[in-house]
Amino acid sequence: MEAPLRKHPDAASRNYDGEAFIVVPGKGEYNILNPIGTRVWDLIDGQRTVVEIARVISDEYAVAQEVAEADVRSFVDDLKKHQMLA
Amino acid sequence: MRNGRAYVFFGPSGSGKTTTTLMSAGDLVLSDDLLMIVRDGAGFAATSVPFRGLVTPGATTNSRYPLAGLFRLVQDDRDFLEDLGRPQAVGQIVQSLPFVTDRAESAPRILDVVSEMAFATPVKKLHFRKDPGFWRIVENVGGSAAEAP
Repeated sequence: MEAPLRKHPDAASRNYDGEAFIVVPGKGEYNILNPIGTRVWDLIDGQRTVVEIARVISDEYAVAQEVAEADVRSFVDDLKKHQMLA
Repeated sequence: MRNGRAYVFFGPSGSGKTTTTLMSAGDLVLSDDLLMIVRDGAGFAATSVPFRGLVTPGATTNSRYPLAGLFRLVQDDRDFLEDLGRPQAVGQIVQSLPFVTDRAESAPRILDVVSEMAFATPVKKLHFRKDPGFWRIVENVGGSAAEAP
């Protein structure tokens, strides 16, 4: 079973008009997520796995579970590349 | 400084901070390097620090000047202002903060203050040529000192 996703402990974020602004101190960069990315980011709470997050996205955006899961995995990979996840 | 208000031009090295200083003859320049922004009543104000840039002689005033606007510099072939969305405005400001953003424990508080500042003060990208003409479009941002609360 996959481990739950966790945000990087040093990541600080705020939501503005439905878009998440995220900065990881010392990295010299910030990231701004679109509304769906922001929803996924908000769902990363240390309890949910990729599959569980994809299930929420699938329900909320009326997309097939497989499509949601592929998109969430791809997005999570990007978050990891930018060191925004633990 | 114009009409009792502070216009803050910021950006990475080479973006034109010293250039805007040189294009502002006759205005009080607080710094072409580091600047301190402090809370001032319900808003924010700029004041100088003791560190010297290439142009400015160091702090010559302890006064505070209410912010008219924050302008991220972009050198271009014409002068115009580009609106920034709230997250972009916060990001541009955060990237210009020296060293304070290296400490993880400070990040949440920094974001709170920068968010507040971005809500209270116009933050725009200033595309400008290397002449004083940019002041025509900048000095109307943020109202006048007479309108300041």
